[in-house]
Amino acid sequence: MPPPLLQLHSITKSFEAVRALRGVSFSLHAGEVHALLGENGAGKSTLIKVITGAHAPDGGTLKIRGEEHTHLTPRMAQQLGIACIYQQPALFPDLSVAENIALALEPPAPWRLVRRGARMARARELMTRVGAQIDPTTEVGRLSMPEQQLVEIAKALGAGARILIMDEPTASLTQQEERLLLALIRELRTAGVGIIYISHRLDEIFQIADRVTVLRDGESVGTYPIGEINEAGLIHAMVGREMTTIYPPASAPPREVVLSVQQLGCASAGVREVSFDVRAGEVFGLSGLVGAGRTELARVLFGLTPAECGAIILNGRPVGIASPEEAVAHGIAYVPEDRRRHGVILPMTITANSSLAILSRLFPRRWMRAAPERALAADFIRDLRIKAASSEAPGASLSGGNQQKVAIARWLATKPKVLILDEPTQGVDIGAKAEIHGIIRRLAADGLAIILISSELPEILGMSDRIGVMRGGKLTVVFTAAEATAPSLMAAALGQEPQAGDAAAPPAPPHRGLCGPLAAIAPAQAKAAEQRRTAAWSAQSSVRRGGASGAFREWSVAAALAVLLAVLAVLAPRFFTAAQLVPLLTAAAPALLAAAGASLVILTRQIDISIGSQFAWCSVLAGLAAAQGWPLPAVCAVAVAVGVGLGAINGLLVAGLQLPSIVVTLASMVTLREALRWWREGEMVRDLPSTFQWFGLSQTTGQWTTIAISAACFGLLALALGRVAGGRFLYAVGSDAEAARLAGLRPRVVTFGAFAAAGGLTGLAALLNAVRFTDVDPKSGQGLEMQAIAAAVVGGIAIAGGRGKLWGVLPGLLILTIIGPALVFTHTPPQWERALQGAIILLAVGADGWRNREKTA
Amino acid sequence: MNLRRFLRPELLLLAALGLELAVFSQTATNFLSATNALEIVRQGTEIGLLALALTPVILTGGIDLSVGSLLGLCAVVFGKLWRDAHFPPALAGACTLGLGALGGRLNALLITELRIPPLIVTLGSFSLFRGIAEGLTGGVENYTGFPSSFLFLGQGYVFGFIPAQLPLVLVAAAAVWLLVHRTVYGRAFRAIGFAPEGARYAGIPVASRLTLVYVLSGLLSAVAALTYVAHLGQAKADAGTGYELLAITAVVLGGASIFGGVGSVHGTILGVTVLAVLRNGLILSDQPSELTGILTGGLLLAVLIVEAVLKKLPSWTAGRFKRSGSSP
Repeated sequence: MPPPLLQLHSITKSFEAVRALRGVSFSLHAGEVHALLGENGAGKSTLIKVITGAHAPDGGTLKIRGEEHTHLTPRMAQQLGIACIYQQPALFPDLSVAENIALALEPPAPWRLVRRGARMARARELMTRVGAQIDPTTEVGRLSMPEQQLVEIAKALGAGARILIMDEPTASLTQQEERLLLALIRELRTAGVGIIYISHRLDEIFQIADRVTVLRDGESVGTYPIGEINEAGLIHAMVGREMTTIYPPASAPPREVVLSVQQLGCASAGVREVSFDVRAGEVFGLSGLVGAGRTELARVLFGLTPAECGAIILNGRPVGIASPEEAVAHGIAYVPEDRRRHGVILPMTITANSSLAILSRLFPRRWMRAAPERALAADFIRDLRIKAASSEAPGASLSGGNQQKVAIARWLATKPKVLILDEPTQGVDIGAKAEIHGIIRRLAADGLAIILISSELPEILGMSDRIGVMRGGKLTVVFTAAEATAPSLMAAALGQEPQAGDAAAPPAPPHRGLCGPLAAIAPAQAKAAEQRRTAAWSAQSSVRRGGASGAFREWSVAAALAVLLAVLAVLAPRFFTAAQLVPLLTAAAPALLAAAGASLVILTRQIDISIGSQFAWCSVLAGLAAAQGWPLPAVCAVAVAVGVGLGAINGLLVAGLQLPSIVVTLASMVTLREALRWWREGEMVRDLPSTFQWFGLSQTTGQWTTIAISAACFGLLALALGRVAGGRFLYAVGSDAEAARLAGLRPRVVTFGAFAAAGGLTGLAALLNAVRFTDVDPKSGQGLEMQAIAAAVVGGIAIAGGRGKLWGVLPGLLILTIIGPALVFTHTPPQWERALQGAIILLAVGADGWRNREKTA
Repeated sequence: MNLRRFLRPELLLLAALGLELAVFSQTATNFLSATNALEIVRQGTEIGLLALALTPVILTGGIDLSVGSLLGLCAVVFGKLWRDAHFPPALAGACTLGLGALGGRLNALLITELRIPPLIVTLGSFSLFRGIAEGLTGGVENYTGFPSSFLFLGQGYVFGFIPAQLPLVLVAAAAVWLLVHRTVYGRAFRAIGFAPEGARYAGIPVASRLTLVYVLSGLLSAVAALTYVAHLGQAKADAGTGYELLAITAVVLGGASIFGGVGSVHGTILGVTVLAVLRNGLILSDQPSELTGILTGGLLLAVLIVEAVLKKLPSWTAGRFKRSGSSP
């Protein structure tokens, strides 16, 4: 018998104080589907990251096809045929399906042509194999989550994966899609692929899995052939642990209702018709799987995603909560799930963190004094037993448990009526966990109404007076503490028939479309919500990235240019004569190349404001070379080489040292400009040979040559950005640098390349500019950086990177260039040119902002 | 890391300032004198005011490229109101301040309502404001002949020896310092700069705090415009060209992080001082003025590189220890 594809033995892994894996063993054979099951936080994702090489285990052995690997990296894992499909796909949202697949499968060599036909055929074939009807040209950001997962599976298939890990692949699929996926998995199994399958849908596991391993608290409870266990057995294995934590007993009986939520809904957040009450002194637990809508409900109550329908009634009075400030004012506090991003501001001190939500209350005159703040922090450090070097220690220096206490302190300081705790003990060590439980009990005894969201069943069972279970955005059932058991909660969360249910849960109204009877309160809102809901899926998928369709922006800029030209044609037909147009285009030719360079840098999510200074240096050095009598090709080479060199310096500082590009290029802009002035003392480069001006051609021919060179270079570059692999790397890095790294690209090298290439283009632009005059002015290029960036931005290159087509820069630049002459020809004072240019920039980006706002609202 | 604590940006800057003083006291004529010190204040006023304006902006993780252009626009509008509309200087000045605040409000509106990155918004208004200034003056008009009562603000001396700008700059610096370091607003700026989402989760009204920051930036640009006009006795559309970059340089030199959250008003003042002393000393040493720019850029890069290298040092050593420690 061949060795198993994958064999893990006694794997351990700790994060700070938390032991995520405590000696897990696991094996996978070829042609087997091995399901991995466990509560949230049981260690499944850590185990997967060990297999994919993302985490190095602290101990234990990992064998792949019988061979032991001690230093597995993500790249090695990929080469060994391990592919993982995460719940959150690692895709480039700005790129097409075909391209996403290609970037994952093709070698990361930049200098090769992109064979679109072959890519397309391959993508189509793979998409057919996974049974997806998705056009490979579709932008991934516009796909729904299940569709994106299919793309991930296609990538894994294309890479010839032998070990395929699927992390809850069906969590967001419809039944139809799910059936297709399961069929696909069976097919892969027949082909000898080993599949690790993680799912919370038990019925699915019984359909597809050969064996199942249950993890609990970082240990494997057991591995069972699927025929030897049933659903009840699995649920018991998942939750049936000894109660290791002693939960403090509930003390006072709950009192009056503080918060009453009625038919609350927010379609865009995924919360549907939720109703429940919380009393003073009561802990109301919210259970359910990750993504069931618990955090989303909390966000609605806290005003982060305001409710679209239903009512929130506080102390008998309906309140509207449209923002966190209003929630705080009404006495609702929310300790968020993501402690490090939302709960605590890591670089700030404990003192600053704990006073952040009540600054205005603590200092009503807005003047801060140290004493009250310190006293506040000192109180909480003592009461909550926060362990820190001092109250001035930054949040980042604390352990997870102490960070969590600081996050709680911030909200206790507001003296809330309702406290929402979202996974308050996740990633917290045992000691701190017990302390946090004690704090929760104490707060309830003090009369606070507490909503406790937790994925840990013993915690929610031990802490809550009543427990609501959410599933698919709805509160499906409410148990009292006496009725609730771990299996009943798990069954409710998984959507099995509730065994010990209660009728207190509001029955789901039959008219699902509307938001229930309370919708009458705000019919307009309800209607809007209804409309949004019908488009829920498509909206969710396209909103994520602003969702501009293909080249909407580029075409609208081109259309604006056409309109401008048409107006000119009517008002000033004389504008369209060669005598007018040729000098205009000649003058625009260098700027076009500079704008192309700026675009390359912006595509990688950086910026270069030293373009103007680089331009001046290239002009002067090329001029000097020409004055020395160097042949024209050598002069060209000088101009381009100087540009590449200067760009490379910027690139080195930005990519190598990871310095902010705006500051680096600001410094190099000033240094370069002043150094040139110092050296040349404002002196022009004179005595240029006649062979230099207009390339030694006649003026007209020279003008046309300049235009042609610029247009040709621009066109080639625009093509290359689409057709050469390296060009696509720019988009990939700007779209998602982390996904680019996972795809085997080297984001730093790509960024460096963009800066160097931008420098080269600037050098060429300088040359095209220099040949227009008899002398070279060392002041040339001043303000060029702003012109170039403006053209790029108006042309649709997104400042956030990864988006925009280079050709759009051409109409963008032309609009900005033609404004001046257009004013002259329409007898408008020409000095308004810059004001109009500024207005155009603001209009273009403002329109984008408006479109995005409309979509996300 | 003692080394790291020692090489804080402020200390680096103080060292640079000490070096400047040591070198220029040898090379420059009349450098070390009270008169010259006061002259440095006069020369550095506009950049100083703009740098003060930019400090809260950069603390929130934003940027305002439009301050130099807004200075130009305000200068021109002030001149026009005084000469063409016959406003008394005080009223014209008040209107100018209002215009500055309005300009800042426009930036704030686009940034908070349409969620456009500040870099692009202010790149657009950078062109817009300068362009309106050019449009209003036809690009050539130069307003001169202001009454001496107004010119006193830029050319006069209080008690016969203190430049009139000094009290103004002191008041502005004190006000911004108090705002940033002693009020709840300053705390909010930092929170937004460190973690915009985290600030929102803490119930901070992010949009209105950002509005405050950009309006203040516009207002201080208008103040700088008034001192500029009073100092030079003229108002042209090109007033303050390139000042935004000098002001940003001063703020970043002063230890502010362009990513937000980190920075101080005293650091900014130190940054402005280092730049102003550098320029003054080089001129008095008969060195070409271009050397100022070269050294400014060089200093900025040096500070950044030193910080980046220091930031990497501990992680390198930590990485090494970890690797050797974890092998069984």
